This record gives sequence, C-alpha cells and structure tokens, in this order.
Amino acid sequence: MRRVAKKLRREPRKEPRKEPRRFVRRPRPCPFCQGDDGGVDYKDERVLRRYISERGKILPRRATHLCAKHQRQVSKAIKRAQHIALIPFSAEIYH
Amino acid sequence: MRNYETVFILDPLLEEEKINQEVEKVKGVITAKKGEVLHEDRWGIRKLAYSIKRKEQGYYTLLVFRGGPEIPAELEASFKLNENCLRYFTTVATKTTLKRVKEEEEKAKEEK
Repeated sequence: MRRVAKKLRREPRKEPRKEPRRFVRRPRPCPFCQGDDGGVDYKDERVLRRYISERGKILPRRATHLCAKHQRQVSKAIKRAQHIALIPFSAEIYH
Repeated sequence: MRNYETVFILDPLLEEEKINQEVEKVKGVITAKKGEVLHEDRWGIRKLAYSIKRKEQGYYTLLVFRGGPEIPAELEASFKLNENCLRYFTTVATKTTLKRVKEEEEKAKEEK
C-alpha cells in the first residue's frame, strides 16, 4: 500500500454523503504555455511525434490537451515537418 | 532585411566533396544577393520518413541567413533546377532557431 502522510488522511465519514460525488476534471495545462514561449519548431521531430497518431495523423485537441494557440502551431509545424520528410504523411500499421 | 532559414535535402549517394560543393553553391546564391549566412548546421545523412526519388535517406543541411526578400525566391529557383536536391523548405527563421543561433554565438565569443 502507498504510504500517505498523516495530515492527508481524511477522517472517516460519519454520515453518508448527502449529494452524489461530482466528476471534476483536473486541469491539464498546455505544456507549451509553461515557461517562456519560444513557439513550436517544425524541426523538432521528437516533440512533434507526440502529437501524431500511430497512423501519422495529427491528434485532435481533445487528445493533445493543448491550448488553441499551440494546437494551431503544432499542426502547422507537423505539416512542415512532413514536407521535409522528418515525419511521415501516413504510416502503415502492421499487425 | 529579414532572418530566414532554409532546410534542404541532398542526395546521400553523392561524394562528400560534391556535397560540400552543393552546400557552397547554395551559400553562394545567398551571398550573391548580399545576404549573410548566420549559421550552418549539417544534420548529415538521416533516414527519410518516406522515400523521395526512390531514396530512403537524405543529407540534411540547415542554413540561417539574413537578407532581402529576393533571396528566398532566388533559392527556390536554384533548388528547382538542382537534380541533387531532393527537397527544400525556406521560411522566416523561427524563434527557436534564432535563439539557438544566438546561444551558439555567445558560446563562441566566450571561448575566444
């Protein structure tokens, strides 16, 4: 079992919960918005690979968790990287 | 005057001497139009993500330069004619590129 600091351990609930537990989405900040913004570089293959699927498709925002600005930049950078053959336009998946 | 960067891919089967010649030729196009080459980065032979002209590999070179807007047009014309050039891409230099160039300049200064 993972050890939890004493402070963090919650007292057992005496009465049952009145309202049902709500789903709270944890914020996932856009990684490009952290630190100084140098923009997205089309030459940085390693970073761009994170934002394409196995098949080579550009992942949608709901999968990348990027902000709108950086999603635009990433998608443009991927297209440029495809042109200079750093990243495939499409890839076959072998089973 | 603007900062530009261009990436081009040469045929990897060329001899080293010929590759050097080709790179110098590209630089010549820039300097002939009063451009200044700020940075040269040879990535060397890399695997291509897909084959171009039946080649699986390519010799990548990145040039960062400063000059007028006629230079990218001139480069495009010369790349188009160049049979040894598999692919080229020219753009206004990105922030990350300029940052790296600056860092390297400072490093070079310190060493001196």
